[in-house]
Amino acid sequence: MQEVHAQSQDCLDTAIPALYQPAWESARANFGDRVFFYAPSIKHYKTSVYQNTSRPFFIPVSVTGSSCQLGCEHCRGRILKSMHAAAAPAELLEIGERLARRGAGGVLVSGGSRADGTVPLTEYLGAIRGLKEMGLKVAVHTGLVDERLADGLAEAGVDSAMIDIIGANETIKRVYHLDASTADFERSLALLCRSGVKTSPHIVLGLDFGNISGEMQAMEMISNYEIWSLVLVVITPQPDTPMAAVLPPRPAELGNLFVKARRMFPRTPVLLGCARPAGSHKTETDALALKAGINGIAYPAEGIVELAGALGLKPGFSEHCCSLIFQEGIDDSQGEQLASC
Amino acid sequence: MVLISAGTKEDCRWDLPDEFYYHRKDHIWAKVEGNIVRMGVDAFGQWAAGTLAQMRTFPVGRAIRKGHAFGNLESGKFIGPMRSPVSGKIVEINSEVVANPSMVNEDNYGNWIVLVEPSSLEEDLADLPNGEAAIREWMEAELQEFKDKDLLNCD
Repeated sequence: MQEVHAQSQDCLDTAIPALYQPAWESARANFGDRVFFYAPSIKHYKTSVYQNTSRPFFIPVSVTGSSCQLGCEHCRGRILKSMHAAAAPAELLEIGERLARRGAGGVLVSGGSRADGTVPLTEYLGAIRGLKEMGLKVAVHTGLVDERLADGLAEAGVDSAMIDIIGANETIKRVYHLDASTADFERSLALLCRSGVKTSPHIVLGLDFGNISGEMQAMEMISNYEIWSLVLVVITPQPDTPMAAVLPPRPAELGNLFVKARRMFPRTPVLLGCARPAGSHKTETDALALKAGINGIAYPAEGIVELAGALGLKPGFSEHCCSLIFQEGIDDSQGEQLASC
Repeated sequence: MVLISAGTKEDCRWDLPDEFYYHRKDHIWAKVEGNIVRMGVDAFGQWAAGTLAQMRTFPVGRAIRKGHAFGNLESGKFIGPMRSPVSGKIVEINSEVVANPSMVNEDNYGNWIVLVEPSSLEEDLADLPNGEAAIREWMEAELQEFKDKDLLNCD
């Protein structure tokens, strides 16, 4: 039998493990006592201390609908199905106009990949510029990019370019079915950073069928570039995919990676992004992320905001995508409602 | 059975038994079975939430109040409480469904979540949608709200 703590979460342990202490201290020295929580309207989110407005505020749009030629082992296009589809640039503009009229804050422009790992974004650059002119924040899932796309995203005024970085050639082949190497991902990252677009690389922890392999190499690769933020997400087994029965890495394994990321990127925001397994796994993972000095968490588990308060942190809330950390839209007011532990 | 539909997509069709009662916002169905109320997620609720990934409930014996949480769930598009249509006491939990919440996506009426012994049933049911006309009126308003929020995505 499982018991819910729907209204009042038992206080989580506030002790910082010795292994985490240097990371925690580094975060406090470089970022002070702020921590950010994100709940974009991609999901309706309601816990005892925070809820998003459940109106369209930050909306994902796929430029390929639910189609993806890669058919990666962990996704098979399932993630695209819940996104709005914009089959042509005019449709993207139409969605943007509708959202802007309703007071939305931004759009995540995403899409399935072609067989070469690129997302067909070049023809959408004009529409993306149009979204910016409407006053919307625009984050883009880029896939692999060439120079033309990287420069085009920068010229269009994109607020955040998000690219998944994989640190093991074997994982690229086995999971993405992509005839590419880590060097191709690094080249895309380099092009994005060189173009001047604010780049937030993502690393999917446990992407290799739940195993940790290549995550540290990915971090090392990223550490060579000037990035805006680093977003860590966790493999989340999806039904009806070859990874449906895969066990994600244990929270303690993830915690070790959080510590390493914090120490490798002492002055760059490191965030725990939207995707990670639910339930007690999430609660444990989120708690370790806070103790490792991670700057922000998307859709925190019940009790985590209270834990942040108990650790002496000052929470801010946003309905934007977490990769836009430290930009506008942080709401401090709900931090005052925190129950004390 | 009341069939509600929207747009052109095949999956935007929802059956709502007209003998059930419904929580208007959380889409929790309540079926009165003598002195017990069986509860679960209605067809529209499971569609709107997407694949259910995690579910928790209060334990057997816990008193619950109408409009307040008897548990919570997390899915592809929802993280939040499941609020009860009636007040009472939880007398049984469908542990199999709680442990495997995506069963709700497969059969949302067969895979119930809790049984509740109600404490003020007549009063609690009075303002809940029940019967074809009331269910249609309620769902039309719901669909309009989802459409206004750009959440319907049925074309």
